[in-house]
Amino acid sequence: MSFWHKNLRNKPDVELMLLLRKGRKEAFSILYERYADKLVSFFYRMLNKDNEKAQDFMHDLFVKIIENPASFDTGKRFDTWIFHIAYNMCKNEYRKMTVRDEYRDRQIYKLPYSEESVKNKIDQQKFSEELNESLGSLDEKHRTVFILRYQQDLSLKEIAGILDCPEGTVKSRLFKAIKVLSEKLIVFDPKVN
Amino acid sequence: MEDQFFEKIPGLEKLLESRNFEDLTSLEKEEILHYMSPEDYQKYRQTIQKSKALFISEQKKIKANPAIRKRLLERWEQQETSSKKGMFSALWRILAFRIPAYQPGFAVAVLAILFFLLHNEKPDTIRYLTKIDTIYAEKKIAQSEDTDKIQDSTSKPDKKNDIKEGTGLKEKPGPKTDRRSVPSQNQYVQNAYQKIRIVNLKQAGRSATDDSALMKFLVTAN
Repeated sequence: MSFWHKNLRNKPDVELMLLLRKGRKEAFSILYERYADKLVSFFYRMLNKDNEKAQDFMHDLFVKIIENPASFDTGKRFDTWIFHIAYNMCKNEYRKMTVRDEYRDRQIYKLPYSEESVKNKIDQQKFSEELNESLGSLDEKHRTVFILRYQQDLSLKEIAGILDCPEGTVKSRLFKAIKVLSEKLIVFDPKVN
Repeated sequence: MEDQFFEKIPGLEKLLESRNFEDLTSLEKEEILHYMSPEDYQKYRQTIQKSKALFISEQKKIKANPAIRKRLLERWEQQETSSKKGMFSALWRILAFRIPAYQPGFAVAVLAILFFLLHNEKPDTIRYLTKIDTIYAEKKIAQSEDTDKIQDSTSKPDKKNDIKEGTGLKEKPGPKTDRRSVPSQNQYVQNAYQKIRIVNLKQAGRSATDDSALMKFLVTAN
């Protein structure tokens, strides 16, 4: 790797996008490394835990970036912009299919064996299934806020930028999602058990 | 409204994520108890913690397919070449070729060293394309006898050479001067012309007297 490649790894996302517009292939490569896994996990949760579809959506999103890098507004955050595109792709997909019904019917992705005890493993598996079902029952806006907050670890302000709505609205949706999920997942509360 | 309790408690989402109800300050407890029970608080906290743990374990397993990266880079190459069409595409690829930073610096250093080495060479000997022969003209300066003599105050004045005041020096009468024996300035120049070899004119079958004075300036190098 040349001297120039090493320097690019420390550059912020916005600078990498500016370099990408100038035709710097290394800038694109670094951005892909930073966001590919995050986007796959986001799409995985948003699209009925379909890994194959999540990979395709991630590929399509980066193709959009390659074809039209000028669409990025350098005055905004890159992660907000890229998740905004991802969210819009999911919305379009929801219009095409009834995701909520498929959420219940689709086979759940099973986590591989861990070193935890059998009981914990079963609890975790059951929780995962219940969580999936509960998330599926949520409205897409509430589900998106919950995933962006607790899966992608984004702040309420950043989520507001992604969904293009006020921060208060994001807060309202988040607590609604927490409340609904808590009601449905009450069986896993150790005090209740 | 019951659902708007989060607006009344600033930073509630951070409290739920970070601390159990028992770990809250008394002020925080008092504020939360206005809107929910401790059980509700713990219920919400459990949901958040378990969801986060599940998402973290999922992210360790769900990774981007490496083949996608390769496809995207190929797509990038296609995009770049198609944007630079025609005769400029090859030129653009050459200009876009990236080299490490030390190579241009090294090249500049080598060029600088070569420049100083070549610059310090001894200059070439002066070469003359033509040699201009020097024309020597003899010139005889006429001397006056009176300038050689220094008049002595003790000596008797020479009547012949009386110097009358205001009349200037009186030339010693001598033999009558012959213009031929003491040539004039023009004669000296003409004599110089005669000494110059006019090869071209002789070769052309012409004599020096046939041409004007300007032609007579032609000189050939010895």
